[in-house]
Amino acid sequence: MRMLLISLAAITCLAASHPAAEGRAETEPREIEPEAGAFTQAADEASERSPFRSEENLLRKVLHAPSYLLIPFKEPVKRFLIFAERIALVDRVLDVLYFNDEQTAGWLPNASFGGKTGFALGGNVFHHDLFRRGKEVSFSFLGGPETIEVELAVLDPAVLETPFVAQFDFLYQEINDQDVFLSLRDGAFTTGQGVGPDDERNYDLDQATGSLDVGYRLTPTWRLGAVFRYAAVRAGGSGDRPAPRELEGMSDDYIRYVGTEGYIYLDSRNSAFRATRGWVADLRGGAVGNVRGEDEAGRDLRFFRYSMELQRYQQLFAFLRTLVVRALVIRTEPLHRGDGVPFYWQPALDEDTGLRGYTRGRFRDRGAVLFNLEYRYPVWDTWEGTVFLDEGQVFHQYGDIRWEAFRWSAGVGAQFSTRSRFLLRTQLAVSDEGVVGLIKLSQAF
Amino acid sequence: MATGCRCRRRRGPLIAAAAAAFLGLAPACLPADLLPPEPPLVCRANDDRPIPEPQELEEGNYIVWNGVDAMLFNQLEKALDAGFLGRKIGAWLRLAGPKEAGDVNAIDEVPDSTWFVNRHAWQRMSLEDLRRGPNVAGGGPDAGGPLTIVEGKSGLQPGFQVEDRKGDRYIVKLDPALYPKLGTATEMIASRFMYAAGYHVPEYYLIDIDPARLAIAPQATIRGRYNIERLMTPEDLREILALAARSPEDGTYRATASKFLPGKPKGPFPLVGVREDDPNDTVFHQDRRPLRGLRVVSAFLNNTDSRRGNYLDVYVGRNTTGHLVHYLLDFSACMGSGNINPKEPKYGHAYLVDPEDIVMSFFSLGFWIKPWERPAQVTFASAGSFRAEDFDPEEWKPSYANPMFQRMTDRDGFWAAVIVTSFSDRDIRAIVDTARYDEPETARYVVDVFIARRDRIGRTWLDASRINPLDRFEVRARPEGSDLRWRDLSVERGYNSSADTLYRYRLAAVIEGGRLTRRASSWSTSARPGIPLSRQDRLLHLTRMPGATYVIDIRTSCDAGAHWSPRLLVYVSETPAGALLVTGLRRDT
Repeated sequence: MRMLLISLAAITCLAASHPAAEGRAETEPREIEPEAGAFTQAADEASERSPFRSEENLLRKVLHAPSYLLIPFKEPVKRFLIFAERIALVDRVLDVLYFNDEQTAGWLPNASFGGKTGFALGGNVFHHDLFRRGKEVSFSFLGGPETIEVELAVLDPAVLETPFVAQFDFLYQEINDQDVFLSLRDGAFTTGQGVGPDDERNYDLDQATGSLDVGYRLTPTWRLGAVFRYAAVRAGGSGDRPAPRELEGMSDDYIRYVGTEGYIYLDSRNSAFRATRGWVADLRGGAVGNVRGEDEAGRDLRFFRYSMELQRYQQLFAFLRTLVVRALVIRTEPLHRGDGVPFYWQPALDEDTGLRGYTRGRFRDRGAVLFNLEYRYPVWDTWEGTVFLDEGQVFHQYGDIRWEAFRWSAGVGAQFSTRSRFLLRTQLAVSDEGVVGLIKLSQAF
Repeated sequence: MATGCRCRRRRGPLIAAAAAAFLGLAPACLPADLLPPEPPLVCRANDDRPIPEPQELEEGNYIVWNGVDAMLFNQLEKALDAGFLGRKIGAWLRLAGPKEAGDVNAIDEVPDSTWFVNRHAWQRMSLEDLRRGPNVAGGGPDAGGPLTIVEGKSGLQPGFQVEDRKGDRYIVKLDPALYPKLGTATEMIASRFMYAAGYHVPEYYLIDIDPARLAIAPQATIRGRYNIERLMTPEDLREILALAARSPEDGTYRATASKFLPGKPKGPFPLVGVREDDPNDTVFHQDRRPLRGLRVVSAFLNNTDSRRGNYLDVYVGRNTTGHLVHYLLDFSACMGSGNINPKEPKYGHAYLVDPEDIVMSFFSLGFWIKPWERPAQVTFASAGSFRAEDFDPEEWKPSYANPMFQRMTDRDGFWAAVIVTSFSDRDIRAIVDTARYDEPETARYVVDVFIARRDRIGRTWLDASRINPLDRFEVRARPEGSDLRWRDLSVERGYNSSADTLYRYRLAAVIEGGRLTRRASSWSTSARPGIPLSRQDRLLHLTRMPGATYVIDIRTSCDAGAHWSPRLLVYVSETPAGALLVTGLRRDT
């Protein structure tokens, strides 16, 4: 009734002023000015309050009820975010994480779920622009139920402003209950392509390695160099199914190694972090040998090691849609008859080394050949998606390489990176042995 | 110029009619889809009645919370709201229409209110008025004497708050050093468009500041590291000025001075629901047409920073005799400006974090090339990255999800497009003049972009396949009888050719005392925007009856009758004195 009265009053009011009502008073046609309208000038004093009102009936309220489930979450989040903004919590946290305004120095968390180290958490202290000359230093720690890993890395991309590049790495690692897959062949346990997924044995590994890489920049893209290594490694069986003591490299005491290798390296990518075109080629070879200690079987552990790797980055139909093709061959060869190649340094193919659908340490032998096809595409500002296909096999001798022995895995992944090279990588890969996932939080060095 | 016409039929009205009849909502024998519009025919919302002074709502000032609330919780609430989902599914199945705005009158217009005032689209403003915008004659900071800095300023753009010799207080914003005129030009232009469109905005003055005039008040404060307030120092001022563009000729700083609003600030209004402490606030904000339609106006201006923190309620009046007025603020991130840089190409196309786009992008494996995947294109530095080429009015997005915008319907879009397209080329030139660009080419470029964006909006929201683009109905008396006339906005604005435009109409019903007394007549066609309503008119078969309401069904074709627009019902009522007047409109979409 009230609305009806309002309407009648409004009609009366508008009859005098609204353009729609001009027929009442006028008898002669009259030109109305374009856009002129008395609509806004008409007064409506008939109602005390606004005649418009949103109302929710009972049914609407009932239908809306499930959304009340959010209230217990919403209120604390609101209070926290308002508090955080009021005290500039993000700035405070960044000031704790980074040591300078440029965010080139600081510390960031590391984490790994899957991959070489299994579940592990840690941190990384870094400076990416020492003396404002692009020199880098990084110290990281990663610890978990199966792993303790400490690493120090120093990189000088221009030693004394010369074309020499130097990188020093020190790594200390304790890995427990790792899997090595073995099969019994001719009465002896061996690694290789024929091992099954249930053939795992366990071992512990402690190692400390130091390496110095000295390179010379021939051109902005080519580098020639040599790496010198010293390592102390101890490996022993563990768990319910310990790896056999006769396995190459097993020893209760530390075995000391020295090694050296030379390399030639090409990197013509247009960006190190989100490359869309260019080549990476890495050809290296050298030798490693034990200088103190030998394994349980009394073998000397002296071997050649060489590898060839080629990567091609090719932009496809649009910006940042990139196809990456990678081919890799690694080979180790005992230096003398009767020498061994420690199993932990044998070329391996698994979730961490390019055959991403297989668990850690799944395949290892004297050599490995691997092909990766990876398509990368942008998802958001700094998020990247990947779809990949891996094909690879390990082999004892080149003659063992067979078409039907190739193992495949395929999957998808996503990578999020920040300005300060903070990296979150996730991947999910399938193979004929199941699904393997990886989440890794780290910083690119 | 012609747009393609396609008929989009909906079964909604039929089902609604059946449901209404079943529920006993309709008068006897009167189908619900012919019912006169429920809202009254008022031209003022009367929402300025005295209310007790409300509390200040502070939560709207926190940008992170606002972003999380709008982009996460609001979206989750919608997903958990069975009513909302039901309506969405119903709309998808074309069984029901979307929820229409709750603050429109019987002729589908927005009455003047504390939220919105009908300005240029209804009563053309002169070019001088357009240029002046919200400003008052002789307003602005006092030209002589010191400008005393009384407080710092938050936000990206360098600036501070000053008081002039008259005691008036202003927020002063300077241009970024690398992009002179970018922010100030944007703010001048956008504030004038917003004002002429009908929104309440502060006064904005373009001034040149001689740094020698700046003095720091002894009690002036600034928020420093960790947002902690402290006394402002000359070093702070030097740092602010170092970020700003300075005239190489006379050493002055170009700035906008935005006058403090009269009244007491009461915080940004919520985007969903109402202010519980404002008895005048009776319509959910997400259901207010000016706020829903602000999406189209913001798209025109590329006002990507249209978020809660840039809205403000102000209590005007004293103690218990005042009321709230609702303002829009801060236009420095409109057009091609990203405050201190040209706007990134993403903005206008996607939210800051856009879950829908991210999921789509991930699963499309990169084959979906997002329209913003390109470097910012800056033709003129002071115009930033303002463009029209990739502007899609339907797909335009602000930087933060805005629940009010997300509920915009085709009717709201039509309403807002009528406003945006009411700006003629000349009007746009006049408003762009206020930016005082140095080079005429920049001004010409900005004008051209605005014209192109306006026309894209017009072609989108005035499209006859979406909604019948007829408006401004009126009954005109002639000696031999009355005519019902209208304006075809898609033809007037040049989006369709009058030569190809036809109107089909019929008397859908005659209502007397709430009962249907006459059923639909046969269709007639006209090429001109009007039909006779005379007693002798054979087309309408109209026998006039005092107190009756005639329901006239009109359709529009912009391709010579090949396709017809959705229905538009015009309600013409006869007063006891025998006059005819339009008392209602019902637009189908």
